Amino acid sequence: MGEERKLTVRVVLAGIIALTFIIWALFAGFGKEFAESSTVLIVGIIILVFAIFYFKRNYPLAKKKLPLEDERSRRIMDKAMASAYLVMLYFILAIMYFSETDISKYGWQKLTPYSTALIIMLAMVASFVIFWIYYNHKGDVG
Amino acid sequence: MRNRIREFRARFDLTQEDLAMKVGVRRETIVFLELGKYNPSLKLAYLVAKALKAKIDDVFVFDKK
Repeated sequence: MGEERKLTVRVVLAGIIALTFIIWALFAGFGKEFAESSTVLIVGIIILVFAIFYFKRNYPLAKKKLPLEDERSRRIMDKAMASAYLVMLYFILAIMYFSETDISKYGWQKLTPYSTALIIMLAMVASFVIFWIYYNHKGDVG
Repeated sequence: MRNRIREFRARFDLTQEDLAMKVGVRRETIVFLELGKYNPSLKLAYLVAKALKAKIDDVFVFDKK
């Protein structure tokens, strides 16, 4: 598959996923829980922004037939995924603790399983993006 | 590890993008290589040296520090 076509397929897929989140949050979610729908909306927006950034960054390369991926970009991806996974393990432990604890005395709503899942989803997306940006700027990923 | 990619590139009047195209990597990879911020795999080091018509140990200099 050509680089331009590969890029288009990836961005369209990410766009469809992001739009599914956004449409759900806007048309189905806001009638129920505002906080939960907002989380879905934020996840959708992060994915959409990342897809647009990815497209803008790679389209000039794809046009010149330069590869979208090479060993350095794959290493960055691997390190970002591994780091995000490690952080998420601790994060999920913390969320499990808070979902069992009565946090209403601090003015917070008790976490439902649904909102817990959404917070984890948001944290996964955000931590991956943060680590990807970090390793991409750090340079030394060897 | 130090390298002399910039020096060899200048010798052949190649831009970073030209070298990236020859080697088949992204331009940033060449940028980070030149800055000494990225240690390439043996395969990439070989491809870079080949594109610059030099030996690996002429282009990449191992620094014990």
